[in-house]
Amino acid sequence: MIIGLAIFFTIASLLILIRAVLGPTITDRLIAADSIGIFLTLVILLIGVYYEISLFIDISLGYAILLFIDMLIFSKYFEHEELYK
Amino acid sequence: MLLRIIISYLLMGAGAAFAVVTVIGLLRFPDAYTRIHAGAVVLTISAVLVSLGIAVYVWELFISLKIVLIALLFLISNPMATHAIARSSYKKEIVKLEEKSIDEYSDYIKEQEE
Repeated sequence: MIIGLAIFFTIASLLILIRAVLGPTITDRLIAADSIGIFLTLVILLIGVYYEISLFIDISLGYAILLFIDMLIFSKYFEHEELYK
Repeated sequence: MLLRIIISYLLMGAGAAFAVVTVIGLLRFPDAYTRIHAGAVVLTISAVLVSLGIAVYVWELFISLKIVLIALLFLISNPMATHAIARSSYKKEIVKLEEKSIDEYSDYIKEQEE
């Protein structure tokens, strides 16, 4: 069940990658990247539980925080794009 | 012992069902803002349900508390991130609305400026 759920989330993130490649605007690509990041955080968590490596849970926590900061920085950058040239 | 495993499988199964809805919504919805809706609401509850299911499955004190902390972080951070993305794409006019759609946020901005 655990490793099957990890494979399921991997396939789901591969399907979302289609939207990240051919999304017409930049908002679609950002949303797809956010969704892929959350699914891969869950995959790291599931693999750490299945193989009983407790270090992977800390890695997953740090990955979630970095994903949040990434999304804030990207949205701020695309809102005030003329300031960063 | 057995009841705990059944509860965790139920939580993880519900999260997987919401993940299927997320993938279908992200691939099939027509507009960018509706895709934001699919990526914000349904994905948040999916991630929280799967994390709580894993926390019930493991059932050791500190590891479960750490996983619940990850679930709380998802519950707070993902709506904020998608809100920031939608706000920036509205203000920069990356995505333009159709004429038929409801637009109450522009009225709010005009009220704030006055």
